[in-house]
Amino acid sequence: MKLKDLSKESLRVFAEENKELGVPIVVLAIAVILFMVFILPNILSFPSKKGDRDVEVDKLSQIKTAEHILQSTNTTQLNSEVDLVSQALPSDKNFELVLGAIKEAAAKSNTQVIGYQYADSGTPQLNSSSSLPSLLFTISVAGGVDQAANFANELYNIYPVSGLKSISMINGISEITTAFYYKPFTSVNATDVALARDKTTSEKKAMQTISQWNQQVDSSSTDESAQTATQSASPF
Amino acid sequence: MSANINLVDKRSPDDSRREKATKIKGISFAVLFLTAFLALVIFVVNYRFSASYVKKQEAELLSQLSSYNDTSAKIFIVNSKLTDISNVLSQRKKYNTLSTQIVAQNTGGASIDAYQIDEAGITMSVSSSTLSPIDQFLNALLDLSKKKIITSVTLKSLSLESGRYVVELSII
Repeated sequence: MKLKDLSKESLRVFAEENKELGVPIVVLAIAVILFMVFILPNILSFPSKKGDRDVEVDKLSQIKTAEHILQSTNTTQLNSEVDLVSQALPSDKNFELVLGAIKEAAAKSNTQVIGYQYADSGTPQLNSSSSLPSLLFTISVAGGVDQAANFANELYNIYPVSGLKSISMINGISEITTAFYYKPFTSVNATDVALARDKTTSEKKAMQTISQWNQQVDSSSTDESAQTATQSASPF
Repeated sequence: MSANINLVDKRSPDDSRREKATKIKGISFAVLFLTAFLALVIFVVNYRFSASYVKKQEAELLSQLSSYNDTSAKIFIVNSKLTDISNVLSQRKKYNTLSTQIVAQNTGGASIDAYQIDEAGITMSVSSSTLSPIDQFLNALLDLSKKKIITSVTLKSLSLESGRYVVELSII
């Protein structure tokens, strides 16, 4: 008997003797494969999956907060807030609003506006202190520094929001250079309701400030209408 | 001594082998069952606590809120503009207040002939027929400096022009 035939015979005998172990071996093999192919990779990938899930949970939480805010929003108040902020920071070059502000400030500070020059300060060198585009107006008023300061002071409490660049005075004529800011609308994905959030503290403070401007303008526009009408020297 | 004690194993080797095989079979099925159960649990946990499950919830919630798109856009606009307004308000220069304070120091009656305030600071030209009002104004400005309202006052020049004393000041 050759060695090959012997080993075949031995194997056959071994298989015959241990045939009861065939099924458990197959079952254990399936269990091991299941463990190696499905369970182990899932356990190993758990930390990265948890990270992904945490990101989505944050998003979901944001949407739920937005849901609460949207459902509790007073539409009338929101519309008036849109009007208010659109006046304070127009979405385009609103000359009517700017000239109205200059007229209002002149009336409230009892200042005679002699003339003005304007430049579109979309360029950075003219408007380096803010990222917002602005209309740069140089307003000449009759009077000294205190008169110019009063005018600028009133301008700071009137729409649209402005920032002083300089005040100069020579020979009794003062020039106030101020930037009237505007900001084009940002494109918004209409389906992204998660954008709805509560106002931050600084936003609330800004809203409170510009709301007071509103009251001042409203009350002064009626009180001082007669006075404004007498500003015959005003170029407006 | 008990007569029931039988030290001779009555089972044949085949019985013993069969019994062992049955045990091994039981254990292997138990292992398979446990593995399958564990796999099932992992599958359920993966599904229930997966990012895609949360995304599905997000999508459902978003579809429920689709009627609020207009309101959401308005809230975004208001908040965005308020952020910009807040930035402008916090950054804008108080040249008006400072100018009022500086002019208020001129109680002696000196004439402010020229004035300029901008990012570089303040330059001004003050004149008077006598030196006393100018001196008074300078001292008042130095008081402002002590109060940290201004940083420094520099007398750039003092001249006499047409019988009037003229000083050029630089204030930072």
